[in-house]
Amino acid sequence: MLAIDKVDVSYGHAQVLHQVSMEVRKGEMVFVVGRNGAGKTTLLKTICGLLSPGQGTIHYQEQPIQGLGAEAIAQKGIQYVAQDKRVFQSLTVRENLEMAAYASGKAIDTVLEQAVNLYPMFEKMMQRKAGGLSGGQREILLIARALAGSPEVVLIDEPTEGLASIVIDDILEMLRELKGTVSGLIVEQNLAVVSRLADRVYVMKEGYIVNEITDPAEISNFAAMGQYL
Amino acid sequence: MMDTILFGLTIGAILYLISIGLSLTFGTMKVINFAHGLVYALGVYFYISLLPRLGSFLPAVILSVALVIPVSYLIERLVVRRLYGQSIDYAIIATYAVLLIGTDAIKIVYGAVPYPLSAPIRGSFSFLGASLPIYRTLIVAAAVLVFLGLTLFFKKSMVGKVVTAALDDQEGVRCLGLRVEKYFSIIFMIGSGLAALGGILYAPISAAHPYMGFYILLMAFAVVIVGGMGNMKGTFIAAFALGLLISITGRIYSQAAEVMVFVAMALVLLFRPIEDSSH
Repeated sequence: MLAIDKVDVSYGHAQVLHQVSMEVRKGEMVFVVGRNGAGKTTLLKTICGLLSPGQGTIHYQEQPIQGLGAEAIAQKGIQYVAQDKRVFQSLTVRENLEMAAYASGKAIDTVLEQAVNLYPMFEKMMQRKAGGLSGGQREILLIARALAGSPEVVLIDEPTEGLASIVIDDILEMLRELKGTVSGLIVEQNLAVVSRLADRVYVMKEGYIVNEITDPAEISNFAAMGQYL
Repeated sequence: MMDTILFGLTIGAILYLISIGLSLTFGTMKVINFAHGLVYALGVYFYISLLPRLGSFLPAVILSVALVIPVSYLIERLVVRRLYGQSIDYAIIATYAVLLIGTDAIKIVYGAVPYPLSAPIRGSFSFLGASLPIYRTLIVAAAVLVFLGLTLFFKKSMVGKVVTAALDDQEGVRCLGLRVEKYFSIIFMIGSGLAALGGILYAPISAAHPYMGFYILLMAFAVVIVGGMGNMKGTFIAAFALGLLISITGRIYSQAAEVMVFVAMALVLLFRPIEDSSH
């Protein structure tokens, strides 16, 4: 589905990713863990086209996508949810979803229904300015927006960062429901979340992939995974 | 006093029509566009050419603004679009070059001598004991209508919503699969058309000359800074506030009238950080 092969990325002269290779198979939920500055966000931004790799290839459904713009990659079916929980704050919740419907060519009613199914509280929030939502609601709106166009792959950067545990449970539930229907590449530092959802885990350190964990027993033991953070 | 206020509102209306395009261009594209002064002047010169042929004010205005649109499209497509994401210095240099080249082109075609125009609608009406010129009142009304129209456009149309979203989070819009440049281009042309309209409406109460865009551009930048870059409501309020500041200061001490605009701008720069996407 998504194959990243020996990708290097630099900001000016500072190389941030070194020979990063990984893959996400159809329906898989793959997590990337690592300390701050390990290059996790850079990796997602490179896949979604906001950054260009200096070297290496990224293939999506057997087609090379490295170097394509973010718009083209999104249209191909890869959606990115950024870390900063930055919704279109001047627009209402409905308009945020309308934007996603417009971009994907989907009917607005379908997208609204899908969003309400994902998070029923949206039904009463449609006319609220998205800028007034809580951090958790913003994250859920961003995920709903990304899912509006029925993407094949979602890239989500730290979905639970800075959120209260009750909201984390909501997001966890939402991601659990997505399992199998969409492929996910998720950057996450909350290992309790990783252990409950991950099919595979890549560990990043200083721009390198230093480990790939595939053993379900090892993934479910999040206390042991703490050594990687 | 009423005539001073109306004069201030007229200046404010013109400043608004010119500034809104600049403000949106900066808010969306992060490009400081000096070529905006050129489309302002160009609209006036198109009007000068068309008025005798068409013989009527309104058709000449509409056609002049319409002629500015393709010119602004070329400026956006060939110059400004290449500057997205580049250092702001490049944008200043490149668009200033466009302004200089365009101004010289106007001089070649029309000459450098100021061209006087008369107000298309003469007469005045009485309000609170003052005699107010109808034409100036109509300029103010036109600016208010443009503001309401733009507000509606940004709230109701998909293009407007995409641009509003891009003012909040441009990467977010791109990651949904929308090519923001296409929408910015539309906004650029609307802004240019409004600048041309401002120039045409103002020319009969000032005068047309090739360098008219340079002078007004400085005032327009002051409005954009005071109102907040990319802030549509702020630009509207700032334009009228500064217009009134000019006229009231001018009544007290005429030499200081325009200086006060830049004093206000300096105060804003000192006491408020510049926001690039506030509403």
